[in-house]
Amino acid sequence: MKNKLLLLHKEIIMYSFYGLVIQLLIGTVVLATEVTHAQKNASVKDTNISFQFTSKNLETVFREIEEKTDFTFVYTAKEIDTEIKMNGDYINAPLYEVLMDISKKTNLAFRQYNNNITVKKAAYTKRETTTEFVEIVQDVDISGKITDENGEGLPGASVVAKGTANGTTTDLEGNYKMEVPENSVLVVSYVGYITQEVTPNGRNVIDLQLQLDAAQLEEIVVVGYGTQKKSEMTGSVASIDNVAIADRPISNFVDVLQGNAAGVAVNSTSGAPGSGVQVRIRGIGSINSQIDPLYVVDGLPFTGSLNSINAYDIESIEVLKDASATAIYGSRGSNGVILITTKKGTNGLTIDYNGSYNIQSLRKKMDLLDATQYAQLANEAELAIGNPERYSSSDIAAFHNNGKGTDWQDEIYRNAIMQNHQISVRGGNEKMKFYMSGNYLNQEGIVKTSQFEKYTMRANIDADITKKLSVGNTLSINRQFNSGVAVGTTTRDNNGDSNVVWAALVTNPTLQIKDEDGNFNSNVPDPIFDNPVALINGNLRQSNTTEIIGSLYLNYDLFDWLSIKSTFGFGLLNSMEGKYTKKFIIGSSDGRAIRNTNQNSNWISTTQLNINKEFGEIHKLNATLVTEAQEVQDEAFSATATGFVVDNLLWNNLSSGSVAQTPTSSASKWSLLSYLTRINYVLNDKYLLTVSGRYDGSSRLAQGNKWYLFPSGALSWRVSEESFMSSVNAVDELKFRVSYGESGNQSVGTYNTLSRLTSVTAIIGANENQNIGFAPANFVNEDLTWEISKQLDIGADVTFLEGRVGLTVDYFNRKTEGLFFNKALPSVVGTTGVAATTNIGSVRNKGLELEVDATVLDVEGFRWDVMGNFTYTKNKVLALAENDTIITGFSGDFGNGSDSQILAVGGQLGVFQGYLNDGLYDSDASLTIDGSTRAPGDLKYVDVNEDGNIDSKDKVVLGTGIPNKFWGLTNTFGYKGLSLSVFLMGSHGNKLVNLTRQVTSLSLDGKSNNNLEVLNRWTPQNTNTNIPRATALRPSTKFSDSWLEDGSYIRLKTITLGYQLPQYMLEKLNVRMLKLYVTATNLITFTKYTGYDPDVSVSGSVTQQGFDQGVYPQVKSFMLGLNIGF
Amino acid sequence: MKILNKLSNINIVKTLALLIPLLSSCQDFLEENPPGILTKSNFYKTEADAISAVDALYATIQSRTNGMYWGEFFSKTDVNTDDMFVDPGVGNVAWQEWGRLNIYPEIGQLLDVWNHHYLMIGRANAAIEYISTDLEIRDRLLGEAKFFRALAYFDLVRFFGDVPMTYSVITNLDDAVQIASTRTPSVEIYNMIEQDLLDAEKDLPDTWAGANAGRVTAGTAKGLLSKVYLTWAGEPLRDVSKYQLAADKAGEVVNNRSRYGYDLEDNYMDVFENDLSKESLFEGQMVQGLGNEGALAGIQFLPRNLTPILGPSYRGNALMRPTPDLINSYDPSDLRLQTAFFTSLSNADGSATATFDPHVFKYIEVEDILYQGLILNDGNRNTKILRFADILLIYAEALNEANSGPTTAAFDAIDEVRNRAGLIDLSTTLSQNDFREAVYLERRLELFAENIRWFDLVRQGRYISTMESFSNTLQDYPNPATASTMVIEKNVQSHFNLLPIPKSQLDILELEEDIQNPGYQ
Repeated sequence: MKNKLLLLHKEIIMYSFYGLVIQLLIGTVVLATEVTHAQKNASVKDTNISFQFTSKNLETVFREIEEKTDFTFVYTAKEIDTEIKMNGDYINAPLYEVLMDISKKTNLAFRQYNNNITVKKAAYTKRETTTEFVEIVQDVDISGKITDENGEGLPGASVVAKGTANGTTTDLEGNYKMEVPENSVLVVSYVGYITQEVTPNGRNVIDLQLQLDAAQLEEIVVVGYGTQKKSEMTGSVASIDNVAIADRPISNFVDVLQGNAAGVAVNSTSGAPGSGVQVRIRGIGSINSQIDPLYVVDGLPFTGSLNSINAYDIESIEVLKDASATAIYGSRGSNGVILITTKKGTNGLTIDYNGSYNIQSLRKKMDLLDATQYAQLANEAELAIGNPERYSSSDIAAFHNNGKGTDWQDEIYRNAIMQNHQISVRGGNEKMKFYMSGNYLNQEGIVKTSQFEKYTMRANIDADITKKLSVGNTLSINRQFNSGVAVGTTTRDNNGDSNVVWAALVTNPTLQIKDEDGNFNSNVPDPIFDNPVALINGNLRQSNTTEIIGSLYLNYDLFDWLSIKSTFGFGLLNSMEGKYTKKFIIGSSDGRAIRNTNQNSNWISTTQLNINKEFGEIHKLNATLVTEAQEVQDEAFSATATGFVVDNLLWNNLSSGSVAQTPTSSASKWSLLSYLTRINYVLNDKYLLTVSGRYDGSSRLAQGNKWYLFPSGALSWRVSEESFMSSVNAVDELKFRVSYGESGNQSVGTYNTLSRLTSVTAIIGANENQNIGFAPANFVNEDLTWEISKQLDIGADVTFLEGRVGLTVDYFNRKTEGLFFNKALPSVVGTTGVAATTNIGSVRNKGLELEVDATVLDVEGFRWDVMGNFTYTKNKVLALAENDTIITGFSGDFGNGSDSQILAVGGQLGVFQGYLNDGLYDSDASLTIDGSTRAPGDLKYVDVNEDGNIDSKDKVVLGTGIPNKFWGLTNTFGYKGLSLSVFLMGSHGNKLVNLTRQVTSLSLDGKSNNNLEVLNRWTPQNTNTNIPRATALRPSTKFSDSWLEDGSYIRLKTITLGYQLPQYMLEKLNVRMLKLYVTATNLITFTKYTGYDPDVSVSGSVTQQGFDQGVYPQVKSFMLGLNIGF
Repeated sequence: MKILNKLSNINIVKTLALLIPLLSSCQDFLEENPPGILTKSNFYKTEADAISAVDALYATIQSRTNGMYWGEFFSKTDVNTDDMFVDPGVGNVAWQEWGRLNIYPEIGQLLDVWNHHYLMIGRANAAIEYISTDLEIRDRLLGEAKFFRALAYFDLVRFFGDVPMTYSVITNLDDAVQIASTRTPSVEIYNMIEQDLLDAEKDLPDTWAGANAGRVTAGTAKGLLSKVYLTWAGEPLRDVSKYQLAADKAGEVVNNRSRYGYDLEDNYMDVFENDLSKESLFEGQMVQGLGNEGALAGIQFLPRNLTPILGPSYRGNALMRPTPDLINSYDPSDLRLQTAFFTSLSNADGSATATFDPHVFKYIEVEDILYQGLILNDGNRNTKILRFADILLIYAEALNEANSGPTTAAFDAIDEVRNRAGLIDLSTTLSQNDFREAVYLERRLELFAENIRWFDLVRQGRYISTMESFSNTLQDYPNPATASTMVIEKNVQSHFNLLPIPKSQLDILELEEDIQNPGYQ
């Protein structure tokens, strides 16, 4: 009884979802009515009709019958000969009779099914026995059980009456029950199984066992503008399925890529909730331009925020790496392409809930001086320059917290909660399938007040309207809230974005948070930093983003080998940002509010022709022809006001500020027009050829230079299909691949090839009027064209031991030419910008990728799987402007880092250049640096060229900021319902500039707080040390190897213990699936790096690689999760 | 369903064909028409366009993002002389180096000098080349643009000697490199400066008023030209024939002062406290609170330690402090010494006072800035670029040189300046040389901290010798506030009569041959 109720409940849910789908699918109402069960109908024999017609054509007759009865004729135009004129006169005659008469005259056959009368040409002429040509079909009840290859009930299998939309799906036990027209052939299907047809022959109970379909099980890989069988792939593509996503705390789907795909380097720029990561595929192929890959979601290039993609909606992620795979994306493919496929509907109905609760904390706390230790250092620093001590012994004795003072890190960090809830429904039948989900994510940041919140909804629907015509859509709507404290990369930028993480490390620990009056203390003696707690409470930021992304497609199969598909996609991103700096923040005594809004909209229209034809057993041809147009528009507005009476209104009422700045606004638009084709040819299932070309035109380039053709070609040989391999039983599949092609990078700024003017303010007149002047803004390079990346890939795929071990190896050599380069121009050009975007120089990335996938053990219910990948890349600057070296870097708060990276022909990217530290001066402080003398205990540098002076000639190369080796290794152990997954990853070969340590350990001026290691500072008594002396007048420091640390690390990224309830318990609970799991993230990290975290970068820019200063730290977290499915 | 079934393959294809983006035919899909940006092709047509193109030049003498007249200039013309030094507490390495004369091709802010002047030239060239010939006010606008172009080249030639020269808009990358690699002899540049200023004085009105006040006039052009001639006559070109032209041109201004509306202010400090006063021939107008339009001068000259009156959070930069040498050059009764320097400052209610060694008071806005907004680096005081007292002294100097001795008009001119400072007339018995020394001294006392001293010393051929003999400690002040014995470092080298060409600019050119100024290679 209980079970029946549950079933009923399930059915109600199912049908209400069908109803929802129908509402969403405007235009398929017709279909939807067929999906619902047919009612009993009157037969043509029982329906009488009176009418008379003379010399009317058949269509008119049908229409009149339709008007007079409830019946509808169903036919296609070519069935009916409209030339034939009909005559007739009936009075209350059965419709059956009328149809018989028509049949005799026209040689048509009629078949009644419910209210429909289908019209077909009769198979043969047999005028004498015309009675057969009007047929009435009755519905009969049929039920049964569908089982899998093991005889277990198969839930969600589809049972459909052949040639109709009438069908159902099996329940949890595999049972089904339906009404079908009598003598219907039943079609039973399930993904991964061979579809079977069965004729009832009068039986009312039909049980069926389905067999696995080996061909269908073969992995299908999503590629640009289509899919391919993995065995027929010629390109290098890394696939990640949704299994990798399920059990991890993920706020951004890109996290999934880290350590999970060979050739894909993922690096965090910040640990702040909702913040970005940088993804580099096969090294860095550009210097001044976009180096992010192109993201394509469900076939449409994606221009929104990556945060908007809900990880739990993802079915699979494919990373296109070699030119054969990326050239199809032409001018945007050179940095690789990441294809994201969201979940689609399936036969049968499943409902899933996935929820997790996650506690995050600071992974590592820095050891800083306490108040007493700091005061002693400050006194020493003052004494060193002849000043009196800053803290008397009675001051020190009176420090709060037993002399320890304030631990500012404790004041700003917290344990933070992240929770995620996802509910999704998948369902459908042979005709229509849907996937719908709702997701809520709430992630608190470990810095107090920072928080990220996201709501996402998705509906993906696919429907076959006729056998040949199908339509579908994807629709995702999400809203994000990102709030909290500003975390800039420098102390305080123009918008008042102070860096609270940084401030907490350097603020004087002797201070109380607030004074006796309850006001925030400002940092003394150097108020360049605000009190960190004041920052948290007074430097408020909030942004909210709404994103709507959707697409519609129409697919029509012209022939079984030719189809045409047209897709229209649309995206709208709207964000509002508010910033408010309260009056107690330094430099903002009036309060400052900023409101920014930004809108990005884009549309894309793609029409493609797909050809799929086999010629005998030998030749297989697959070709795609596409035309595509895309337009992207950006609009922005910003307003600022100061002079607020109270802080309460934040950014919500700018007019309540007394001083308004001139608001700013901007708008831009770019478009891309493309024609592309790809041809795959397979000979004898052994030799595979892929050729592709994309002809791209972009608005961003100058007239005459807008178009370029990106070609590619790939050859592949399935050695394992050769007859001579048939004796090698160990090898299941062996394939060699080679590909070469070109792809491009078009991400030069809009309007770069136009001679633009910039507005400037000039004060003129007795009343100091602000006149707006327009001045030449830029120097135009009319020859600007694409960056072109040429890539060679040689690879092999092998599986052996009956598929237990799979191995993929790839060597790549990617050379990017005509790099977008902001070539510095001599200032004589007289424009505001003294750089022109040119195509100069070339960079090469070579490397090796290895992916292994193995089932180590599979005995008696115990299973051990290993999945690993390893990447080695090496880059080299092949050419720059003649004799050019480019000096870049990141300045940091105390300068001197801005010229620390050098880019030179023959060298690598991200190379550091600086001085060699030579310990400290002892008694030999005679050597001058920049004309000033040094004292014992000051940092000393190596006079490399031994000219008696430390100057720029003494700089040497000190390593690179870009890792050259990275890997990931996942071990999964399963025993019955238990599973343990251990994911290790590593990154090696880079140096990090620890700008934090530069201040907290090497700059002992008593103004900012220091790391505990400065207790070992130089004093006349302690000379055997590398920590310089304390002095309030800090001598200028130089970028040296003492700023650099090894950035390599190995990390136990996640470890997950899961328990899946066994089948018998599930049956008792009447759930399909139930899994509980606990996951720990960033639990253990092995690194020599002394900063917060080695996975860090202040900037995504190629020319600022490997700098760390006050970056929002990464978290350590523990998560409890539940997956339940019905 | 029926309808759908009726659709034939042909119909379906037709329908889908409509969806195919048939854009190959319409070229404008890829055409760029920026909605929010003006481009060259749709500008310079109307009168409003043309005025706006010229107004962009005024931004170069006033806005902190477009030029260096808002404050940076001082480090190249005052702090590197015997007049000023950088407070030892200043952390800004570049300023310290300018102050100590540690000058080399990569030194900070040097690039700004170069860039901002070529920016001014580029804007002037664009205006002159592109402003539509149909416009009635074209000549006047071109006159303004030519003045700016002359001003920029005059600064460049004085700072760097022979420099790259272009009098047309550069549109080709190769041309840009070619022009930048060629150092045009100074004398050719002087010829062009002269021509531009002669054009300007011809086409510009004598005065402007109201919303146009502050624009370049014929008087401005004449005044600058007199200074150009005087400099041309001095080191390093030493074309002494130009002394007469300098005297003539300065005389045209001095003797037609009512026509151009020029005269000395009654009080020395009025010159600085008043905007666009009658003494001003040309100034960069500064406005506080707009973000980029305020003056830096206030905070640059303000003492570092004002804790007694403003608390520990706020302080001046003291990037420039007057040397004892300058202070001691004044007669104690000189009103300029008494009003344009200060040694103490009290808070608004007078309850607390900070005392210090002498600092320059010309630019300190006590009431407007210090006691109110505390936005120290965003001042209101206009930057004086050319003022009548300067012209009077140019007149006096040029007459003395052109006539082999001081004329009555020369005495009148210098005495006018001296009298305002409370000093008596010069003795009329002075020899040519004594008079020359008297003018040199008067220029120092009158025009200190106005971006003039270094140019004067170089022009007079005595920068190196002056700096070599310079030796001051902070105890050399008449009444030192602190007992510091700190030596003011000024490490002059023989090639410092010119600045080095910024290294990064030479690096761009990738030249075989080094075209850097001598001594800086």
